[in-house]
Amino acid sequence: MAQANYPPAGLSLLTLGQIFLRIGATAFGGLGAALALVERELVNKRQWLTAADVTEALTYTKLLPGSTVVQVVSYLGYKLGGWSGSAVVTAAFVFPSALLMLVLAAAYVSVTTVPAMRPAINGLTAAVVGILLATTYRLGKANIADRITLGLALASIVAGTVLGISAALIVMAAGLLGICFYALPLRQQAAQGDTP
Amino acid sequence: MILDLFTRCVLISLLAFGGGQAALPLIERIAVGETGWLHPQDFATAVAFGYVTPGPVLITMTFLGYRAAGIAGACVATLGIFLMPWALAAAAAQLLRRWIQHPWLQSFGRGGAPAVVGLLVVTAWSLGRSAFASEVHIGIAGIALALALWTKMHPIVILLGGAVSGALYGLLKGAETL
Repeated sequence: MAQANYPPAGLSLLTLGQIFLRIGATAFGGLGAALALVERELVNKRQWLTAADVTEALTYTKLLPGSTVVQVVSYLGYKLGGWSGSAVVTAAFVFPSALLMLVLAAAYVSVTTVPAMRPAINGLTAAVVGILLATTYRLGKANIADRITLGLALASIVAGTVLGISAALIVMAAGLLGICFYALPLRQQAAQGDTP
Repeated sequence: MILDLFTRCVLISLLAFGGGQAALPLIERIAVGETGWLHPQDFATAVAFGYVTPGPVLITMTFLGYRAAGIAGACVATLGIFLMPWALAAAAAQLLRRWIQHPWLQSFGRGGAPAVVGLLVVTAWSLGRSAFASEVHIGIAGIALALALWTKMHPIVILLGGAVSGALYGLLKGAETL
């Protein structure tokens, strides 16, 4: 496996921060775009990381809850500069979009008072519904694999609409059921396997 | 209020199995359904902005925080949604390898992810109820769905198309009533 020339000791956090500030400001289009930029900047150009590092980051962070794009950056940041490197790189990556969002949020408040904007926002909302349904389909295809997961998805629809249970509780309950259905049987199997 | 915002953001971030988009239904349920910090249409706009801006879609939380509690709210919400995922990911790079692959965490994620899918359906439905003022809007949603599923078209273009169509429809209807 190719070895990365990890950045020289004493590489300033400022340099790392600048690189990721630029990536954060130009990564339009989520995970794919950010990965492409990271590869170009850090794997191909500077060779501080290998393609295998990026794949590894993706593999592990996908298993964790939270925004995968940000976590890939955090993971690679740790490889580049430990905890402080990871903190700087993550903050730098998120900063441009947070700033832009803040400006948009402030502008939005003043724009919505203009009645002419209402129909445009209605159309926008309808398009968001379509995009969310596409996301539902994609995540469903990836995460609903058997009767148990299908049952959990259907049960959470009922719990969220008819029963009005808090969303956080629903996900936690489903997670615990996941442990009951998937992890505990493994344990029993292992225990049975031990006894001759 | 600020503390409540922060804890809810941390909670959402820890339950987002399946990446940033998996957090969207949790945000909608909590910010629109449970606390009333946002109107459904404000949530839709926030999500749209989340796609339009570079970086993570979850930057939507900055918008939400601003609406809930101004600039301080925006900072707290942004910090809250990324803090724990950052710590987990950095720890995963070295310390937590084994722990991440623990069957209990894996199974928790395997059960939690389909629940998130179910909640996405609930979110789409509740947004649709507020947005579908006419058949035209249902059509916009249908076209957006088809484009997002079967073409490589960028979400920004789809969302812009929706906004323009809605505005044109508004103009036409306005012209009729005159």
